[in-house]
Amino acid sequence: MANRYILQITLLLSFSTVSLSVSYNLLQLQQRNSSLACQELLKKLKGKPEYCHDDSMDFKFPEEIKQPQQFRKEKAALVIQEMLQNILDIVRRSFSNTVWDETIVKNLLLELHQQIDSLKTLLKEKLEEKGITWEDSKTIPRLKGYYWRIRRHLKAKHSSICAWTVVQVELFRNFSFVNRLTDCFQD
Amino acid sequence: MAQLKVKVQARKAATQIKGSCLFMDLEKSRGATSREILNRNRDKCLHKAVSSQSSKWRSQDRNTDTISSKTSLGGLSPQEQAPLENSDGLLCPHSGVGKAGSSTGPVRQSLIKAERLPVVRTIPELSTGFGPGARFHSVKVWIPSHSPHPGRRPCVQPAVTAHLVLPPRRIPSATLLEPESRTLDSAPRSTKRSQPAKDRKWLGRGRGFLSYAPRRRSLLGPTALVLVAGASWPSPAASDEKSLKPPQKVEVSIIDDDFTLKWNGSQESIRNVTFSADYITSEMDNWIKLPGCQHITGSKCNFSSLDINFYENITLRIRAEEEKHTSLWYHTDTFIPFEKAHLGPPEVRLEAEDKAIIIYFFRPGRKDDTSIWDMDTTSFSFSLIFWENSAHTEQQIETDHYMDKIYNLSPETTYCLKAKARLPLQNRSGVYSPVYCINTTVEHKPPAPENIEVGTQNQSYVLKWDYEDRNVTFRAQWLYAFSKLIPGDNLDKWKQISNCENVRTTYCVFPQNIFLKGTYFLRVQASDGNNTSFWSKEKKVNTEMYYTIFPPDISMKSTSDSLRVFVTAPKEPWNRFHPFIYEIIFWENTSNTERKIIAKEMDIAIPNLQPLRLYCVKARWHLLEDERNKTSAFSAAVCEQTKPGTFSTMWIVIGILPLLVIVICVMKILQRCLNYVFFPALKLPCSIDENFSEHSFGNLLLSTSEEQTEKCFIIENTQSVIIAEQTNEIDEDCKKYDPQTSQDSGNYSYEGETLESQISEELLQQKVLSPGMIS
Repeated sequence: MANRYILQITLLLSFSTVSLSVSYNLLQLQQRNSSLACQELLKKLKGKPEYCHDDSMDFKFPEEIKQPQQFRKEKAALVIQEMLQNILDIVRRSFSNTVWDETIVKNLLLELHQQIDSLKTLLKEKLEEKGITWEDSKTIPRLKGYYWRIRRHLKAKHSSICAWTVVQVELFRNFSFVNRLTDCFQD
Repeated sequence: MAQLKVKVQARKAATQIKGSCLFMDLEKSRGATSREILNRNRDKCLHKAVSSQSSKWRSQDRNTDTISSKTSLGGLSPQEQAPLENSDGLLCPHSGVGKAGSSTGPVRQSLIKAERLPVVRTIPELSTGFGPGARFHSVKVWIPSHSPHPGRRPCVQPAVTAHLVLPPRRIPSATLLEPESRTLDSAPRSTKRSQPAKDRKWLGRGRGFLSYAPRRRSLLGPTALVLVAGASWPSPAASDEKSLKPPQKVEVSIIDDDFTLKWNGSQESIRNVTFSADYITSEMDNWIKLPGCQHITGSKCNFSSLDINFYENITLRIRAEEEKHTSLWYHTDTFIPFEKAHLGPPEVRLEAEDKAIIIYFFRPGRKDDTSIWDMDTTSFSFSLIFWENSAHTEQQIETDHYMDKIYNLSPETTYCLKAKARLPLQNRSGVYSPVYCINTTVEHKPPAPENIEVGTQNQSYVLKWDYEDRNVTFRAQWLYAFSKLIPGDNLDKWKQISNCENVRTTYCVFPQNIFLKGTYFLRVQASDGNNTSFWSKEKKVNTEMYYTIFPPDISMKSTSDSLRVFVTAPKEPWNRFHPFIYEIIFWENTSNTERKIIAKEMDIAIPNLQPLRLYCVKARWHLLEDERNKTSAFSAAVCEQTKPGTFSTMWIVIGILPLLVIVICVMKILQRCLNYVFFPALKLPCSIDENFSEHSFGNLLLSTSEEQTEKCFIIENTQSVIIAEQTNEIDEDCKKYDPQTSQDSGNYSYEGETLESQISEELLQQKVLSPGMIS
């Protein structure tokens, strides 16, 4: 009777919403795990020498990313991808410095690369299917300006231990912002 | 007598002078420092301004020659006599009595009130101090600068000074030396773009009547000594009259690291017009000169050496310059260099093997870390079009890596390609590079191994490949996958797998713990002692794939005709792979037929089931990656019984009982109503009942005839009066009184006269008591 059809219809409707969001749900799981792993690895890197206090700086992380409640899922994914790419870019330059343990750095790079790869696949799929209108906002340039300032700090301090320590702290914070962005994948 | 005509004009015709005082000193000095003279003049200025003794200065006198230093004025042409009235007053920087200074000649001053320029002043006669042959005559024109502070008075500074040497009488010419010009640059700068050519500029550059071409001779008659500049007015003045226009159609073009500023200089190139530009970013407070764009003569300049944050807003401004004149600034729109930049073509380097081509990409832009694209190095992807030179069928290849290989080619063939760089995250695409072609080599011996596969066995990886010859040794190497995102040759980053060095078998086994969790590339090479083969096709290996996948957990919810199955997501480390599917197999407990469902969602309903049956479900994962499907084991079977029947029959059953009850109640109520209406239980009192026993009640109810009605009162007791209407013959009826209550009886038997009054009284009483008819 009517009751049976209603059940079918509601199930059908729930399918369509579920199937769209399941990849984001999974991505959320993946990303959370990855961020956790990365933070653990960052912690393992050589600790902060005490004489580096004065070097703490404000690199002006874009404010709108700190509070990403308004972000659509695609924008959150794009921003996370950009952040991970830039973090990878900074970390790979640390090979020249002797401060950090190479094995841990490689581990970190592997972890970052894995997550970037899976995000890449998802983004390609999502952006193709939706024909997304690319972000006009200046979030991405501001974000990149932030990483540029970190890079410049490293250059200015000639990649000293203190400079890399500051960067380590900064990258650790980055992952907490990534976690906030990951929450956007929640329905 | 010589005359000196001074014309003071602005670059633009008829400019308003801010402040209304303009004055001119004409003096002859012999060695006195101009500063002292200035002081003196300034003092005078102050004195005059403050005292506002205009009367002294109004002079019609054309004949004044000498001017005492106190009383000023002279040589005012009639039409331009001007009392010095400056409502603002004038504040002279060095007030107070100036030094007397060394000997100077007499000073002739003119104070002009002028509001508009040009101003022409003819000094009709030169005093004896001024005369032919005199050496230094300085003409100074002063103008108050525009005070930036509304409350304060403007300062007066000498704007322009020129030194004249008047020729001896016989030689009617004058030489104009290089003017010493001072500008009012020290005046506070106005930041308004729209302000017309500033006072300081037009005067400061020695314009107007003063030419800055040194030692210009002009042939002028002694009588009307139009100033030297007068003669030479046409040439510089003509062009000077047209003020310098700022450049037009300014554009910024950024391709990779090449930053170009282009404009349309509207001036003709005959003139010595140069252009200079400044820049300012959102982090800076002041404009800074743009390197590489200072004093450019052409119409474009290159400022690639700028070292700024490419992700911040920047604004440029440019102006035209000509010796000492400049145009206004033209400001470009604020832009972010990173956003404005265009991707150029990538650089491509090819290496040929016999059956493959190695392609090395270099991202657009400078190779070092000052490039605008440096921070995006790992985000680049390359899109190339590849074809065999003779065939012209094109193949499009996309790659994320800086080193890529195209396999399965023929030896000794020419292949060509062109590539473009892309930044997919920003939806940016560059231009195609030029076409590169290369020939593959002759077939190489020994051939490369093929069909690499990776499997697991116990706690080890097993690397297998195909090879035809026997007498070769192999070695295998590995590389971190992320290395491919970094440009440059990765030759030095491939590492040897120790268990796979010089093996003779077409497989090798190595422990799993060599590799940390991540993605790697593996390759194998054969060697027959003398020659080595080319490397095999690289195999991408994700070590996580080779960990055991645990089967999913299932939970179910049942309805009467369907089951909802909930499958849990893969646990660590598999949860990073979203391209996986579930396979669910379910069967009815009693039967053997199994049905399979493959789904992507974690939440599935199996419809069309029979109610009240036991169904069992088991599930497993399929991981889809590359060619290899990785499958988990099946989970344990979970059984659930479907609910009985359909909801609707139950509802009917449930619904009927109360319905029946309701119906019964309703029936009962109806019945009661009917009974009440048609068969009332009420009984009439006995008396009436007796009375009306002959006449059924039916008559009462149904009779419609209206007979004469008389009211009849039956008194039951003194306290109540019953009024009954009676349609029948009443007489006999009404005569039946209740013997107990009637008071009539017995009273009517007396008919005595004496009693008539009593009777009548009683009758009256009766009437009162029961006002009825007594027959």
